[in-house]
Amino acid sequence: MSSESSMEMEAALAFVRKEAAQSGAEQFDLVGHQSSSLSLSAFAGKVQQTEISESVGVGIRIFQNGSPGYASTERLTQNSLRQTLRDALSHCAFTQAVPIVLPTPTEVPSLPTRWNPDLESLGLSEIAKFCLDLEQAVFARSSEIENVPHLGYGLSREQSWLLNSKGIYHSERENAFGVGIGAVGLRNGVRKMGVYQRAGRDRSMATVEGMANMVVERSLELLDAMPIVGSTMPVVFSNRISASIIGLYLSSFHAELVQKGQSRLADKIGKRIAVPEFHLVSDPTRTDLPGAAVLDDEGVPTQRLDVVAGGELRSFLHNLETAGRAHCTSTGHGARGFSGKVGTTFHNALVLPGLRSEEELLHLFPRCLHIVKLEGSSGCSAISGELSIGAQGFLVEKGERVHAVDGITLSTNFFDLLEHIVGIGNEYNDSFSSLKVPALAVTDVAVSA
Amino acid sequence: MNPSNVSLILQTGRDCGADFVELFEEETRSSVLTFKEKTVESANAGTDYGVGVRLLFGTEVLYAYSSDDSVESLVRLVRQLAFGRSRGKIISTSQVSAPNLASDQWSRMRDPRKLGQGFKLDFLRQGDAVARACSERITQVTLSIVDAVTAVEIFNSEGLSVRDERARTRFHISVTAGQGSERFSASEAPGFSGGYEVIDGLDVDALAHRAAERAVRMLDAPYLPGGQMPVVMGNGFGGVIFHEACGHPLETEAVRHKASPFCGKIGEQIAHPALTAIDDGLLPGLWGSLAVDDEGTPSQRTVLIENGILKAFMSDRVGATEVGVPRTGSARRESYKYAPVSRMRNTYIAAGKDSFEEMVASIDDGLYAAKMAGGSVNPATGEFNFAVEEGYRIRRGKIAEVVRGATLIGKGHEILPKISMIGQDSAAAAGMCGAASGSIPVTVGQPHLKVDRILVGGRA
Repeated sequence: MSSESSMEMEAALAFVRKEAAQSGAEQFDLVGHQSSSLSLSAFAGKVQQTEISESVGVGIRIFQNGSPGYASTERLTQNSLRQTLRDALSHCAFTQAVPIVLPTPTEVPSLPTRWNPDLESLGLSEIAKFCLDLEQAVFARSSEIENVPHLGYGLSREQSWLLNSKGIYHSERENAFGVGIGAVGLRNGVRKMGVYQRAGRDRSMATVEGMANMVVERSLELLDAMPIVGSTMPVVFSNRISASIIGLYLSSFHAELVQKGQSRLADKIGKRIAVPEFHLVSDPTRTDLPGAAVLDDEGVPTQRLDVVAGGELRSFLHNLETAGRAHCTSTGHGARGFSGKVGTTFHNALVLPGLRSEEELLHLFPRCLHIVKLEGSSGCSAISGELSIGAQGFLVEKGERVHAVDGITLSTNFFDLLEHIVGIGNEYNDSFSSLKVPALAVTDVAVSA
Repeated sequence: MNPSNVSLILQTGRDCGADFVELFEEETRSSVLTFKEKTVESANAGTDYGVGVRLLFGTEVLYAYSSDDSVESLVRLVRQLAFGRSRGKIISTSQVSAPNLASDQWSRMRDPRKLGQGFKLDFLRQGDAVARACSERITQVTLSIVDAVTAVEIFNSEGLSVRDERARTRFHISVTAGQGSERFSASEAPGFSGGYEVIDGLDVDALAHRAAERAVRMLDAPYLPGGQMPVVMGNGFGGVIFHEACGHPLETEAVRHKASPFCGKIGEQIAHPALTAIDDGLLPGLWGSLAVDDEGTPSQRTVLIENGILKAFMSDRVGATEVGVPRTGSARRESYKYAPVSRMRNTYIAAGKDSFEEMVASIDDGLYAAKMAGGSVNPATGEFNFAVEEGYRIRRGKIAEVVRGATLIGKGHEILPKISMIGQDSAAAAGMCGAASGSIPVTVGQPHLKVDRILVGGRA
């Protein structure tokens, strides 16, 4: 292993930019990533693990004869950076030319700060106290809490850079905290785990009392689950888990999958694919959510994009490569970590809220299932639309809970589900997530038990 | 790393009062070539590098990592990590030894770093052509070959100094068949410990045929009506159910958190007497094999369940101490970015005496889950959920029509006693396992198995 000393990130990027410019490459872009974190987990009244980290990485995409080559390194030494550049250049010989012109600098609005200085004063002792108090509060709330196997609190800081041969130099930094807890309830030999998380930049959102109440409720609510007879019936997906369902199929809206014959939406632009109440947008302007951005990871300015409006498919998500192939302009949805190739992502994928509360959705049917927990996603495929997934929740009759239900699987097809939505909730859950979906009331779901 | 720097960092940890200090340095060179749309879609390579430092105070873990290997940076991290801890427990480190654990296999390896990505092209083109030739309904074929060569050095305050070199190569083919707006994808992904010599040994044609034919076959499959029924589970990747539903709860990482139904059950009958299960890190060339684990402990063959009786947990240093069991060389991590915990290596159910035909013949109405697609488990409750990629209805003791959309659901410790027949046809399959210490290569395996009753999700 090398004894050569590492460079600071900005010096490393400047070094690679100079070397790449001298390599005779047509065009290139570089991404840099630097992060640090502080985290702690507790178990059985003690701090169990403490972790601090610092990491860096530089990724190169370079074009020769129109063909892209990629390479990356976590080692910011001159030798490693040069080797990485050589690797990227050598890869251009294998790939096909793609019709890409990297963007030039443009005026973009500045993003409100995503750095909360208050989080930087958070120390290990404060984090430890919060975790131990939370664990104690959870046990104090119910004698039926058997165990708290998962309890952790972390603070992360990230800075990213994007440079290209056309003059773009863009850098952003952000920090955030996250607390998560999983508690096991035990009654009559049956165990159920409840999980609750809080994250974001305002740590006052996470209180010991609030988190303890929520996780205890979730750990106990399904303990008396009873079997039901399988049938096809209406289901209300709680806003706790509705985003997990929609998230499994978002890649169907990526132009890359469409162009490769792996999306069932291929010929559906301008056509109705969902009920008129269904609207799906990609919204980088929601600065309260983690997907906010003024430029995508290729330097293209971002914009709010109506993907599905009034149930009609309006647009696919494009990066520079897919846009070049489709002879259109990028929608600004290029995504890239330093070690991977450019892909596609939503910037805050939002299913727009409807008018009814989750409670009101449960009253839409004489009898339905209210699903609050999902188990596994291996039976779900964005390509086929297949949706077969384990679930737990409640049998509801005339809007009232009858009993908890477990040991069931739900089966439908995602593209059928979009046509069978009969109600959309008016509220998102409280997660700090770039995917927000209200509760969804859906008919005709096959339930096996 | 320079030995004097190693000593300084270990000593800094001891100066902070740690009972045990460990240094894990890693450099991985990896590359991937992806073939799609009959052309190379992407070529990528990377260097991952960093150092992880672990301090143990009893069984409390303090872990720090950095891509910066300067001694100043690492000493600063150790001091920051142990801030406020007691001092004064200064013990000098022992003389370190430096065993070379490179195996015969290493010396025979065709090194990806020297041969380059061009070596992979013919295999990818061949797989693409064979898959596309299987049917006009094939709409997409994606192939890739990923390789990684890793050098790790592990030092600890007990005097351990180990250097280990690891190479892994994996071939992946995913075939999508389409008819109208219907799509179905099937994949094969064998992986091995070794360099490019493992690609030479691959039967690419057979893998491409298998994936393509399954994608086309499943495209026309009707849905399976769900319900409780007997199931014959396929050999090879069928072992993923044991891995998820029983293997994870047999790791001391779950046991020490009291998040396992097997806590305190060593020596008890937990499965049908016909069942024996093993986790073996020593099987030559397998995807999950290791010379030493990520604490530097030599790997071993660990019998987990023998004739239905629980014999051992898989353990790391901390887990072994807390649970009070021997260390099994099972400490693993994705990279220097994770502290090691107990994890599986190559986990399989040993062959039994029954034949596949006998299992099918014993079922009047059930499911043959020929190929699993993956799944998940909550070790604390034992609840699992697995999708069936390729399934067949069993009717009156015979394999009948192909069915799609099946999901298996249950609790691991409740299913074990219901495994009543175990086949003679063991097979293994490579996979990636995600847990507390990241995503690591593992092998799952089993012969065909009959489970007397399990909930199968489907569509009426």
